[in-house]
Parts: sequence; structure tokens; C-alpha cells
Amino acid sequence: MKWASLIILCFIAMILAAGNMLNTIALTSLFIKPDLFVVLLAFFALKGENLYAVLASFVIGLCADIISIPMGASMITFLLIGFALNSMNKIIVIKRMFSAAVLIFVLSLAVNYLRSIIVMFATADFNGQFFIKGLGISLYTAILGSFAWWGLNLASDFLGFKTRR
Amino acid sequence: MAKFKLKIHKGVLVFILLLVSILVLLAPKHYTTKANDIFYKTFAGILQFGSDFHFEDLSSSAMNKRTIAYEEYEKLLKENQVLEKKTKELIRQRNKIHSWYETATGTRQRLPELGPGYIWAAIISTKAEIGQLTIDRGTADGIEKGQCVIGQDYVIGTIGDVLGYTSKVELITSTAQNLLVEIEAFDEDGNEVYKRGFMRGDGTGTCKVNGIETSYKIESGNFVYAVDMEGFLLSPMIVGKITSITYDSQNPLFWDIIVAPSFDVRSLEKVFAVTMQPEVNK
Repeated sequence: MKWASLIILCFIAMILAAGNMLNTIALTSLFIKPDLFVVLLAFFALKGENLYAVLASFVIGLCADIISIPMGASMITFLLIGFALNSMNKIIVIKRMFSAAVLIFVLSLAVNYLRSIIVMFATADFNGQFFIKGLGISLYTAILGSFAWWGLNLASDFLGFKTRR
Repeated sequence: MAKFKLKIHKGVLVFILLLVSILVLLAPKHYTTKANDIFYKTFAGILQFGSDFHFEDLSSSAMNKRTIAYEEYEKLLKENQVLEKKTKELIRQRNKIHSWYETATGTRQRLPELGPGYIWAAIISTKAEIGQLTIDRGTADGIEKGQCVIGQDYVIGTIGDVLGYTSKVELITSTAQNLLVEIEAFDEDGNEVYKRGFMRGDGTGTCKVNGIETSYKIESGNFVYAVDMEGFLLSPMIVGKITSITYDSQNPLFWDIIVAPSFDVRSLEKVFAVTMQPEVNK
């Protein structure tokens, strides 16, 4: 797995998530935007080999934490979910975009809710809208993420993943 | 040469990384937010890209409204210049009356003026979904937690986390915001009073004010003001307007007031932070 490509993809996700560009496609008054880090987590945790998938999940979580406060919540969330996903990589086989969308939807729900719970414990700040927002973000991420998954799949060889024959 | 391979059990690696993550989460914010600060300061230019673009601007009706005939533009420009002159004259007269009032009563009634104590800041990123902005000023510029932030002539929020060169602004619509406000009301005798309450954002672009008794009559459409606070805000400033008043479902003796902010978060570009005035006691 090429680490340089992971770092570049994480950097692009950081710039998009932290900047104003995604605000142009935000939906409703809740400003629901797709979570790009979840798409990267789904791809690298599922496709990567054991240890490197775990490290990649940690790095993606670290990049998500750099642009948010408090630091640490995303690292824990992405590490645990990436580890769980990688443990099931022999069972989960994604061949169609719809399957990718379902996977990304479930992952996004898990990531958003777990991260919100950790942040609530760390900051004692309760956001009453996190359930609806989490659902909206997951749906939006699943729809756009399935296309991103298709693109990442096409570039598998370049990203350092051996395609199974 | 053999490729380097990590020789450690997967579970052990996960445990070590989890431990590191928990330590980072529990570490003092002062240290962990440095990475956040450096990132926003370094990439401020790229992050600001896209703030001027609004999706609704692409609609045909919006595009048609953008251009007008040159003659009409000239006419509007002249009218604007006349209005500007009249506004300046009115402001001059208002300041004269305020000075007279201050001298006559010995109390401070002057509206805040630009000068030392205000710092302009550009918005690096907008996270409207959590009611937060990141601005390009920090402790190095005299910014401190709790200071009021003004945009489009309204109080839009207060400073939350302050880093070296950047700060987070908690908008009034953020769930982390708890701003003391006052609302025009009428008591049982019909006297006009200004009732105070705490306004908290609900995370959906509006705010709620609680703690005002139903014995006071309040009307929808009334303005809501941020209370003047010594060292933070010289005089009350508008934060929003009441859009709905109902009885509090948990305590019918109090009003449940919904307030819509007067500013448009999507069109905010520059704001200014009201820094501590040296002559005012902290």
C-alpha cells in the first residue's frame, strides 16, 4: 500500500472538510455535508492488509482530528471501526456501487454516533440534533461516497492494492 | 534489500494506538489544539476558497437579477450617494445629541465606535452545521475567550477556543453558546421593560430563550439584544428577532421563545472582535 497516496487523499479530505468548498453543496438548514473521511476509512480498512489497514485507519482519524476539537475522538472512533472492518474483510466483498453505498452508510452511522458520544463525554456538551444530523450525513455520504468508491477502485493499482484475479 | 515489515500482533498495535488516542483526548487542550492552529494558519488561503460562491446564485432568476442597464445603474448610484450623505449627517446629529445627553445626565449612552478595542478578522472556515467559525486572529492579536464578535452590524457570537493565531467563534446558533440577552416586554401594568434571559442555540440555525415569565407580554417580531457587559460590550446590540412564542412545555409559567439570527452566516466574510477596552475595568 502506498502511504504517499493515503497522505495525499487525507490532505484533500482535510482541506475539503475544513474549508468552505463543501458548504456550497450543504443541504437543509442543518448544513448536512458528506463525510469524506468515512469513505477513505471504508476503502483503506477493507482493502488493506492487517497491520497497515489498522495504521491507515489511525492516520485517517488523526487527519480528521487535526481539523476538529477536541482532538482524540476521531482517532479512537476510526481506529476501532477500522479494526472491526478489517477483521471482516474476508466476509465483506464489495462488487457493486450499491453495496459500497450500504457499507458507507452503516460505517458513517457508526462513526458519527460513536464520535458524538465520545465528544459528549469529553466536553459535557450535548447536541440534541446529533441523531437526525448523523442520519442525514450518513445518507449523503453514502450517495456521494459510492461514486468516490468507484473512483478509488479504478485507481486501486496506483494506490498500491493488488487486484484479486 | 528486503522490504521492512511490521512484526507485531494486530491486537497489540490496536491497543497501543488506542492508548495513544485516549491520552491525546485527555491531554490539556492547550497542547492538542496547536496542530489545529498550525493547520488553519498554514492553509488559510486555500480554506477560504469557495466562501463567495452560493449554489442559489446559479438559478436563472438570480443570474438575471445580477445585471441591470447602465442608465439604471447610474441612477441608483446617484441615489446611493445622496443617501450616504444624509446618513452621515444623521450620524453626526445623533452623536451630538448623545454627547449632550451624556453631559446632561452624567451617564454613558454612546453607541460603540470603531477604534482601539476592535480587531478585524477574516473568516477562514465556516462550519454552519455546528454554529462555528474559524477566524484568523488569536492570542497573538489580543483575542480572549468570551469576547463578543460582531458581523453585519449584529452580535453573531462569542470567542470560544483561542489558539495562537486562530480562534473559534461560537455563533449564537451553536449549542455551546449561552448568551445573556434582553427582550422588550410589557409588564402587567403595561409598562415597557427589558426582560433578561439566557439564549442558547439549538444547532438548527435558530436560538431559544428561556427563563422569562409568562406574566410579561412579548410579541413576535421584537428584537433581541445582547446585553451590554462591562469589558465586553459597551451597549446592547441586536442579535436577532423573535419568530415564535409559546408556553414552555416543561414549565408553562415561562415562555419558550424562538429567535432567528439577524445575520446570514453564509454571506459573512469579515467580522470584528470586541477586545477588552483598557480603560474599562475587567
